Amino acid sequence: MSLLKIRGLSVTFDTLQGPFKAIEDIDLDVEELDTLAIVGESGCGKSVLGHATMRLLDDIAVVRGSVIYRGREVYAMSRKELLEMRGKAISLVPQSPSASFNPVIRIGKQITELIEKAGVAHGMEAEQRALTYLEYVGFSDPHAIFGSYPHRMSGGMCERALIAMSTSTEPDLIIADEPTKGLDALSRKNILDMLHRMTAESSLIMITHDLKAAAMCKRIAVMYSGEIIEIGPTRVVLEHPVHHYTRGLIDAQPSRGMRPIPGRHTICSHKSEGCRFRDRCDRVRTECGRHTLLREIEEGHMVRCHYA
Amino acid sequence: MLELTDVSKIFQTSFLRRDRKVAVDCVSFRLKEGEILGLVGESGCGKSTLGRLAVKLMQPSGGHIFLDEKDVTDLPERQFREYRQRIQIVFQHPESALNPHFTLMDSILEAFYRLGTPKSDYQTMLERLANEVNLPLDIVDRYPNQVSGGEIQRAVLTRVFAFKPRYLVLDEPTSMLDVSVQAHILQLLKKKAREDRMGMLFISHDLEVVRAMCDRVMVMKEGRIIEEGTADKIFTDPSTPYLHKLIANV
Repeated sequence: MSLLKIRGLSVTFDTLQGPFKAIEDIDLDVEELDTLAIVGESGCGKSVLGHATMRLLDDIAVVRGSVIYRGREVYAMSRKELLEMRGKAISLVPQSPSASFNPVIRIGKQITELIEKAGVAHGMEAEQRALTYLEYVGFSDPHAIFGSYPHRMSGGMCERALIAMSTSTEPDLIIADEPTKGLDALSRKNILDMLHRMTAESSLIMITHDLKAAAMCKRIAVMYSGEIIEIGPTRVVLEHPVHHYTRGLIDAQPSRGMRPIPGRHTICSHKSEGCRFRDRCDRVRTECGRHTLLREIEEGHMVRCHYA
Repeated sequence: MLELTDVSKIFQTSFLRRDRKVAVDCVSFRLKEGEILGLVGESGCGKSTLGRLAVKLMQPSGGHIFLDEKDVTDLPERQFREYRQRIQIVFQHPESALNPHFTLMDSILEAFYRLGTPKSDYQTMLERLANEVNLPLDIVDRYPNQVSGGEIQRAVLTRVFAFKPRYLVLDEPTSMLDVSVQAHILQLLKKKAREDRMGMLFISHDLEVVRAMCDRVMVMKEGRIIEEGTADKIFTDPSTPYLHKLIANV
């Protein structure tokens, strides 16, 4: 049985310009101890996918489809069951670390609170656990971090503290949303090493637009305009990309010639039938106006393109 | 040429104890026209402070700044204004770079107004500049929170290029952007440096980007420049262990 099974997941936001489909018909499986990177440009729906998996969008969007965690439908759980699942079974490491902590509560208190809420440990034991995890993410003086407020820490430190918090309950699945955004080379390396160590005991979904960071995952899914357009083993996808958007992303990297993808990523609310990348694709033909599904071209490697 | 000689910046971190932090410590460099000079280092090493000092958004605690051979270090704000058009800065966070109460158009037109452009020329000038930076004209009526980071960064560049600056300080201009948008903007900057002979101080912690963009690179650590050389030399044959460590982590 897979750990997480997403079927036909669509999220629609109600905006002033009318309904906006952020993601559409997403199918995804995550096995035990699997690591999956989700990459794509901003606005492609990757964060929405992460949030919808945790059922965090109930109040602000219309969500269809199903998310099955260990055989149980997340969208049929009671509030109590949900609270038990979040943080303990699935942890989210949100974007913008410094804005994610409560600014008026000390870091240690916030981590301890989560450990107690999740029922993993209580009192002194919970505090001890928080300290252990702060040390585990590379703080040489965990006591100092335990007692400090979020504003006293740099972006990289906050990110590490946030990862310590998310993993302190030993979840089965960690969803890390842009864990390396805006960090310098050394902190970025630190964070990636740490996430890599975490994957010995948990599954990981890493949402990122940093292809280098994505390379640490076993599998990679490329999203464009709310759809998954290519998914497969990381080595295969990065070395032999099939979809032209994936190729474009890889060629836009500074080390690969820095060639931008022509056109711009339009986030439009009225998505027409057919390939969504066709306006920017250089091998577009008449067939591209027809809708196409993800097709398996070799084992585990699926592409949404007529010419794959 | 933009030249900084022995420029320092000292911050007083506590009032009563008179603690001091030396953010920039006796830094000297020269930036020629048409050259892209990289400035790398980890967060907190003082690279952004140095960028702000170079455009005189901060007054240095010591040292001198020469802009085209003129010592501008102690020029009062009013007299510095005529020089300010020659040297411009682009900041890291697109979301806080523009006034949130102004549409992109207002922000750009403000620059035209400062330049003393006649009102009748606004439209042609806007079209020319927007075309240059690839800013779609159908979004200029929107507010900064209604467009993406890449689009704001383009609007910022439109505004900056309106002044026809000779030098540009770029403080992590693309670290918050997607790789494809980043490629667009970097190519544009490179073209500007080559064709219009604009000198650029390119501050970044992304060594790959620096390698692809810069002619010369300076490495900063704890407020000092610890290494300087051509991009090729710095990346293939780093002399300090610190730089070795930085490069190994790419």
